[in-house]
Amino acid sequence: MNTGSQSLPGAPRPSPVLPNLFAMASALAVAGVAVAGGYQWSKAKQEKLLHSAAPEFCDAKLHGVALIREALSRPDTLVLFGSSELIPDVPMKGVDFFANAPTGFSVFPVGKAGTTALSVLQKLGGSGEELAGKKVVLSLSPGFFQTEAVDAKYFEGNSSKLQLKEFLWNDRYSDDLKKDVAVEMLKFPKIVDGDWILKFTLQHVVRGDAWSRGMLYLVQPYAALDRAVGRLQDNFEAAFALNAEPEVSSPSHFRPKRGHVLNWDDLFRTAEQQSSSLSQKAKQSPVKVTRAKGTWDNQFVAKMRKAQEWSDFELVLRLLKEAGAKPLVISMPLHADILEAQGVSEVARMEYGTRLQALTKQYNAPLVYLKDHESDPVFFVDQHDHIGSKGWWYYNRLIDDFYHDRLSTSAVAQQSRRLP
Amino acid sequence: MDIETLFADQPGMARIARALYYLAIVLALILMYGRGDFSTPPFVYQEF
Repeated sequence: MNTGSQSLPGAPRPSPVLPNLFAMASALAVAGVAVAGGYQWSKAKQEKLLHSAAPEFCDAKLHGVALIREALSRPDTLVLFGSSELIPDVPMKGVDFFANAPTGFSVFPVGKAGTTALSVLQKLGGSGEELAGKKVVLSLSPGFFQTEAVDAKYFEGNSSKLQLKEFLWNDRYSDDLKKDVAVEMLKFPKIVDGDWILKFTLQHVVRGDAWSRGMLYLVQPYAALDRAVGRLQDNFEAAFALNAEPEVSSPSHFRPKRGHVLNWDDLFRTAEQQSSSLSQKAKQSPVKVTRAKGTWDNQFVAKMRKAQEWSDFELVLRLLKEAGAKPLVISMPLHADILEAQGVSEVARMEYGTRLQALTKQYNAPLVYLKDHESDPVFFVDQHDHIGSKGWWYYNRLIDDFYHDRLSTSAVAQQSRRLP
Repeated sequence: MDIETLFADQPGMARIARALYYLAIVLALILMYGRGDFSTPPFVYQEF
């Protein structure tokens, strides 16, 4: 065997351990400096280009925590959690309307198609301490409250392991809330596939006995390291995603206009025209009457009452309360024409608003339910929960009033308060 | 042939070469596992 040594037989050989340890330590130190530098670079990218990421719906934004935390930390940014209504390219869409901060802030939408309350809960839960004391807007799609169970594919397609872990290991949240959330999450085993620590954590949080608490205590160091690596990867992913963005919204270009008041009446007329134009282009098929008026009320109400989305949305409200966040809940209206044709009368439809109001009141969360517009033919852009330009006008005005603490005097909010 | 043999007369170079060797391993590991995977199971949304 060639040892590469010139020493005489029997003479003590220098140990190869020390030089190797020294080399390894040097390599780790250099790699550590490189990673730390990369981390600083990624944070700088996020800070500089956050506004460019606002219209994007990349994985780093929807399933990571770095960009949402960065957006929450900015006083000139309001985070809007929603679902598929955030995606269609509609004139006056919130993210575009507030892109240049016309009244001092921009909107950072988070969500994509099929983002039900459980997915919103993960995104909020992963926001860490940045959520405390922050204003957030939640946009509700009534369609999710009209089906008994959450569509597993929708939830799995929007689930994030990192966000969930950040929530479960955050001391700010109560054991009761974590347990109730974990019970819901375990109904979807696919979301923990390939991640034993997340599965282990969920299972032991659900058990909650002394043994499970002990086990969680034992794995805490590993779980902390696992999350630290996840956050580091998330930061790099966010920076790489932003790196492709043009620097159109760098701080030198992004100048929020303080104290500027918009002419909402003019904007309303524009929105109506745009909505009418969109509606004509859409050429929606006429709604086919399938049942006589009011003949499906009982079934509609029974199904809606059983919807899992209610309990999931309550978990969101509990989380927001424990986090000390300041939410505004906006619900788009039901589609009156479609429901009427299916035999659901206004009396039955009112049940949605009544339940929503009772639930949000329980958690002191201001609610604006835009029920007045359920028969408006141009409020939506299609026959699903996708609002058009006119719908966005209402959203934008409410968001603007909410950001500037004018919600109590907001004409749109006042209008909706008359209604259950 | 190992580093000791290669740099038998240059112990300083041997140390640097060994450190670079370990650095290459660490950087390769970072490149292989450093990027997170935030993808989710695919789903089809049919309401657009």
